[in-house]
Amino acid sequence: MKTQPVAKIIKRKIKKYHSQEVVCAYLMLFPLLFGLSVFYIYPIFRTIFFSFTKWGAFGSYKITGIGNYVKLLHDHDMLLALKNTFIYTGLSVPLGLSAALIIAALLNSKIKGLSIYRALYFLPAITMPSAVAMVWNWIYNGDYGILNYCLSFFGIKGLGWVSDPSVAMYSLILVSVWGGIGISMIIFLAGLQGIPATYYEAASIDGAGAIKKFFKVTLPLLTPTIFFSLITSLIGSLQLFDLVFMMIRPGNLAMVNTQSIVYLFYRNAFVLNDKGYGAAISVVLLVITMIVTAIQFTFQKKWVNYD
Amino acid sequence: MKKMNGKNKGKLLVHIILIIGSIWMIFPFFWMILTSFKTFSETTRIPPVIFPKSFSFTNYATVFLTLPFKQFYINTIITSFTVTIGQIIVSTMAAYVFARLKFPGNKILFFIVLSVMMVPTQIFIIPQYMTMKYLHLLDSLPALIIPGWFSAFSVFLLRQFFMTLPIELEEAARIEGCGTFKIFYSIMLPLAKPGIIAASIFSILWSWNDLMWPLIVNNSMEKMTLAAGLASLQGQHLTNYPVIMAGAFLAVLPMLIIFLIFQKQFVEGIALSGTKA
Amino acid sequence: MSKKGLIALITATTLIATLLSGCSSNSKTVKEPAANTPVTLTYGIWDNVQQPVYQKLADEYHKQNPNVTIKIQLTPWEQYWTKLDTAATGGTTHDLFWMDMPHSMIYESNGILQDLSDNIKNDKVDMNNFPEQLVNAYKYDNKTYGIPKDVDAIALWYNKKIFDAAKLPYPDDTWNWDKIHSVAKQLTDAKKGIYGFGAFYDPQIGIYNTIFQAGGEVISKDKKTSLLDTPEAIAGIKFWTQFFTDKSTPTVQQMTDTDPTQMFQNGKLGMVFGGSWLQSTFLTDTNAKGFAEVAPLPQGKQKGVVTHSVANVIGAKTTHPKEAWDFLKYLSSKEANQIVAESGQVIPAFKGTTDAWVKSNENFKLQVFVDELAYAHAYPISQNTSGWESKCLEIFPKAYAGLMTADEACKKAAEEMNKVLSAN
Repeated sequence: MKTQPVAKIIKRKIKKYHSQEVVCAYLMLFPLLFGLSVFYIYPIFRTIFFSFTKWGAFGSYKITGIGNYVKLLHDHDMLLALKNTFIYTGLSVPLGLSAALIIAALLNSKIKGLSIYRALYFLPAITMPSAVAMVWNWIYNGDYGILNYCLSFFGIKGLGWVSDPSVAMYSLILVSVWGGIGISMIIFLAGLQGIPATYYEAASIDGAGAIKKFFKVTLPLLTPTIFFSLITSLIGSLQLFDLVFMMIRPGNLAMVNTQSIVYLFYRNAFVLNDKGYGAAISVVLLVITMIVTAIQFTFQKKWVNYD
Repeated sequence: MKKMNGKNKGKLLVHIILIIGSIWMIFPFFWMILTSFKTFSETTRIPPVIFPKSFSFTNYATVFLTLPFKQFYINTIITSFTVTIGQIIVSTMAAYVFARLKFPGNKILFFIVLSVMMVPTQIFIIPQYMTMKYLHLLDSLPALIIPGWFSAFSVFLLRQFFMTLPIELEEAARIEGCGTFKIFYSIMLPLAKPGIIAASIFSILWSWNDLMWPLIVNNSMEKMTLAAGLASLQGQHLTNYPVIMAGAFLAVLPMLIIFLIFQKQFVEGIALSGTKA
Repeated sequence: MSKKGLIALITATTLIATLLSGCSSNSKTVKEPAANTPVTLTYGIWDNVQQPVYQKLADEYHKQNPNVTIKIQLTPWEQYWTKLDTAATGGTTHDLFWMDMPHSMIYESNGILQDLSDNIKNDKVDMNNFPEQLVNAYKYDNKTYGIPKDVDAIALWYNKKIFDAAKLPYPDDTWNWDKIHSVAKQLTDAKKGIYGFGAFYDPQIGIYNTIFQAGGEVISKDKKTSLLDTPEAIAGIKFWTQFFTDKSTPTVQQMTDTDPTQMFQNGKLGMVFGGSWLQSTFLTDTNAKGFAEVAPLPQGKQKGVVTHSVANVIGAKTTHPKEAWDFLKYLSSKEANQIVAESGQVIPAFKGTTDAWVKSNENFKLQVFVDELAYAHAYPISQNTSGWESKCLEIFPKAYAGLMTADEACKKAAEEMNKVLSAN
């Protein structure tokens, strides 16, 4: 009842732009927009253009209309790539975020040795990617990997975790969660710093224990940061490439279940030398990601508290 | 009495979880270091050798003898720091605008900025190369630096931070007659310190490890960064892994130190935001 | 106040430093080179293992031509082709660089490489000094675009210890397909984790050799049709699938998890096909050094082996064509090839200089590779070699794993290969 007139007032307020503010906004925005346009947005438009061509070697091209997109609709590989990428995203995002959130909460508590722990959890982010791939390939090795070695103590015969098509994707998801914890942890730690101590003090006075504080104070106030991590993880997961490229070599029978959209793009653009088709794949990925992100942004009003 | 035991039990549990997690986290890093001490033969053994027979520093010596490592350090430090400083300046301004200022096109422009993250990064290579060629910046350090000043990720991160800051401070300042930029510079920026630190860490990290772009846009070994320079140790058929691991460890050491310094700032942040409120 | 000022000062300084360092590095003078103006040539390579040898050649050339300096610029193999593609699109390739056969046609046909035919004729460079099939590989439209710098071949690496333990005679040049299949079975002891043969899929190391041995070809002479579905090619594939039926090789999955060459180095495989380049790897590995040896590939209907050559080429847009050609001539000389041979890293392309390479590693009978060159077929290529090779990589391992028959795999591979060939 009260909301109706208030909404009208707010609408009127929003329509009023202060000229000083607008000018300032554009001025402060200019460096970013200029740089992004030159280095990133122009290439995207260029890619969109080339998706409508047969893009040959060294820049030569022939306009072919929607030919590439028609081909995409019938491409079985693309369907598989979509399925693989969605499975990967659907599992690694929630798992990764939850794990990082828990770790960050633990690392924000008053225990000894915080700096050391934080540094340790940060290490995967700075370990050389080829070392990461080598170690995980060793862990996952079917014949002498550590994982199967441990399983043998329980009498379980382990699989080839990255060579068996039925499990390879899940093995990659585990590596991804492992590698993402350090990054997400930094973001969450920063977010946790933004929660004023007074809130915790008030909660203590009300008699709340550690876990209650987490759910009633920490989580709600952390939602802007969680939202950020959610969006960037979603976008990043849809872009899955490096992990597949490093751990699943061409010729691996498991490729059929791990080939992601970007890997398909890379294969078409750089190995099969069909850059126009690759461009079309990029455009499809862009559209999918935009839709997913837009949905998240519209829903954020329901759960994100910006204070 | 009961409360004390409960608290200690809780702390112990936290430690246990964190320690188990840590082992899992550091395993590959630990492996990387151990491998740097092994001989080439030891790295091709099946099952893999965990501990080298002898811990010799020959691989580390080889790194310095075969590569201009000192130059790599200098290049990487200059590149990473210049990228980060520039990126923070550009991103904080843009992030504040998106977070707080009302102007036509706010939502659309922000979405366009985000869309930059939604495409495979390989599509940027050739256009950026051509732009660098046009600017006569091929085979130079600025070629490595300039594209890094514009980061959608950074802008998004800082925007979220600005949005969590209490709006009352700005309104108060505005009533006192402060201009928009002054509010941004004197009030908002200091408050967003944790976010700025996080963004800086990511920027340095990304720039430090960037491999593909330096290899493509630069030719001479003297202009290479650590990651790109180390990659040159990979032969076509024969790759001396122990030497590369030694190099990787040397390359990463400064990052680790930077992180240790920076993450202390996180703790200080609590005091800051607490008093302000 | 001072904090703000400090930040501003640092920012300004770094920005200025950035711009200055940028400005100082873009002085590319393009002027008519007078007779003795100092010239710098850039030479792009991809193998850091060979870098010292080529640096030696560059220094040697500089001694003989003091006004020309060669700057070797290494891009690792993984990134070499992406970088070359980018540079070629931007018209900024190195003055000289390495080219391989699979990528050669697309660069030749798009004018990225300098046509060397006139230079070769005028300076009377004798191309008979290089293996004919490899010289032809770098010709396009009857024009020569590259001069071979090295050659390689594939042979049968075997583990003496495993043969000794099974009390079987070592492989020799009388071996045929039946022989190797039966010996592989005899050497296999699955309980000990030892397999007689490592039958992994690879075009150059694997199927091309056996297709040639069966009397077949991979691609038609006009490069428009795939010959992978011919009976000879099918026989060539069945050579490999036989090992899986006999269970004398690790499974496809096992060889995906662990590199077969590494398996060999650890005494798990009795025999593998392997390249001439493995000799330095095995020499450095204290294990393999002790038990590895090499023999000619077994023969099918005939002897057959695939050979590949890396060539030196000149970028079409070079600003110093005369000097670049002169250095290329030097690189293709007997003297230069001799130096390469002595380093032992690659087999030099110049006929008659291979002895030094053979002698560089007396642990193994490297002469085997040189002898094979006499009947070697050139690596099959087309405009988009990587295109159909990538398709084959998806298909043939399925036949090895028993998910398809060899006939089905060959038919599908030929189908996909023809699609790629007609797309260009």
